[in-house]
Amino acid sequence: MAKKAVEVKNLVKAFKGGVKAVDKITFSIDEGEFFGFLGPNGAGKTTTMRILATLTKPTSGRALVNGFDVVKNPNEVRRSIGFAMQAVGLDDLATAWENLQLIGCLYGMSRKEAKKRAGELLELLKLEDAAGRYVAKYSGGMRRRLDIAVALMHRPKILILDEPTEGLDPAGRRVVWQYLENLNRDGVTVLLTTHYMEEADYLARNLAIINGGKIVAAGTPQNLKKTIRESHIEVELKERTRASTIICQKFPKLPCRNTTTGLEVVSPNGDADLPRILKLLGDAKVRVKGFNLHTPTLEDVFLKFAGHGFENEESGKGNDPYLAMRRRG
Amino acid sequence: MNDFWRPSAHLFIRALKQSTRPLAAILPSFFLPFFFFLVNSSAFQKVTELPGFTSESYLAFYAPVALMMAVFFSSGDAGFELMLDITSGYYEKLLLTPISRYAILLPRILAMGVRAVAQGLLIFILLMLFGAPYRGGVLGAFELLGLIALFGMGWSGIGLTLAALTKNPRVLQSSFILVFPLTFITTAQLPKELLTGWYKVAVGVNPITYVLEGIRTIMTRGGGFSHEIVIAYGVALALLAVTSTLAVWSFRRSAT
Repeated sequence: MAKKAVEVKNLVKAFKGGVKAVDKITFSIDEGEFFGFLGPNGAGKTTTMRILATLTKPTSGRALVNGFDVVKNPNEVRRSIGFAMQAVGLDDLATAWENLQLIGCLYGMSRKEAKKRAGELLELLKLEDAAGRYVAKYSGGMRRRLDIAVALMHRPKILILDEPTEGLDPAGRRVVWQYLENLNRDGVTVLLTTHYMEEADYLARNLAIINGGKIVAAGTPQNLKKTIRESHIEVELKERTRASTIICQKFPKLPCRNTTTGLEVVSPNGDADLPRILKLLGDAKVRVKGFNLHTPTLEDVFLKFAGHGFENEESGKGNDPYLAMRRRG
Repeated sequence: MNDFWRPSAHLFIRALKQSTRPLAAILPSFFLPFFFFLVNSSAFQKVTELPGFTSESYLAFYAPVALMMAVFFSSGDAGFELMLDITSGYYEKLLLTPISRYAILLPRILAMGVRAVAQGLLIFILLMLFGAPYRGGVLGAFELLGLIALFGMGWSGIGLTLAALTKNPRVLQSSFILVFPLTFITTAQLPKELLTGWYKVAVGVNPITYVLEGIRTIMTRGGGFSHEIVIAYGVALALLAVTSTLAVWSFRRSAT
């Protein structure tokens, strides 16, 4: 059995007034895993991360990081983790060199060792050219990368990243992704929160979705996607009414709607239904200009478990045509 | 203690650097005391003719006030610097490191003592250049710098406490007004013998009066272990003990 990097059991954090930001959550992360922690704003992600990083004390429950209790052994936990918070925290009146070297020294490195490590990180995160400038003069992307470098300075076993690519341009995001992948390949456990679903899909091997302080879904991205039993078949054509009638006759249970370029059919088994629909239209001499199969994405999973759109759907208040179509189905 | 001394040394150096960046930001703390010195020493020269006013010139009488104001202004920055760290998120970065929580606070207080001495020394040289007398000798110089350092550290504790407790820049900004009653409800303008009524009582209650009198004694009458100097040291030490205790308490409260 793999050793656990993070073990959380019945963790609760209640704030003044009884508001529970985290409500009895339990999850674990294996050593060397890349774990994604998803949820809407205010779901409890950041509070959980702050508890794991010893910045916030839990109300009850237990959290172990690298085998150390966050309440009883905070300094051991701090030595084990690197935490890049949602808001970048840097000394603006110091250079990147100074920021990194000071943090290195605070983790017990010698000046020489800290300088060497800072140089490595500045090069890896492509900041070496600006390393001697005051951080106050950095762009948002540069600050974000430096913040990640600070979190990595002491070579932590576990890296906790709270929306680390927020505000980065696509190129900057790729730099960070690549570096995180390499780190994880070298054995560093990564716990990541992000609002970019493609990022979580690309990087994380396991996910948990938190909503209202509770974990509402967990598993691999692939398994979570399987919980959405709907694919969207888009067919580009001119004779929409005739095509719609043909499809509805053959597949009366599949919701079908007009789009600006043709038709969209929702199917629980898109892989099998797409060729059947194309054959049906071909046999009826309906000219198909193009087609597309949209399989469930992590965003669909997120919306299913944590999206407010589904609350509207349940209550019948939603006016999103996409959701309306799903209701008809 | 390994998590205290070494990190403290690094954070002490960082606090000194933070205090001087940008360099232009410390100019007001030189300008204002010197401005008050120039204006008041010229405007109130006739006051020396009052019966009971013993100082040779108003310039000589007022020079210690300028020195004390320089300490007020320089050490007052401690709270603002901590607030800067809190609002920028850097404070939490420090809390994430495996160091003693005291190592985040105490070097900052110590750095303020050093800054008060450095700034006091520069103001002192300027005062001398403009004709302020100094009769303290070498012993007096050490006493003066020691008193300035203690008072600077003590005063910095107030800003640090407010910053850690409120985490609100506006509260800290408002606290700046404390400087004026504490500076001027003292013997800054006139010797105690010439004061009357409630003002005299208030001046007697204000601990800053005794620090100012200590500085004045060293500068105008010489160093040593006179009554005024011993009391000034006692008050500065008491202020340091009280404010640093408050700062530690507020810091512990905010850091957990």
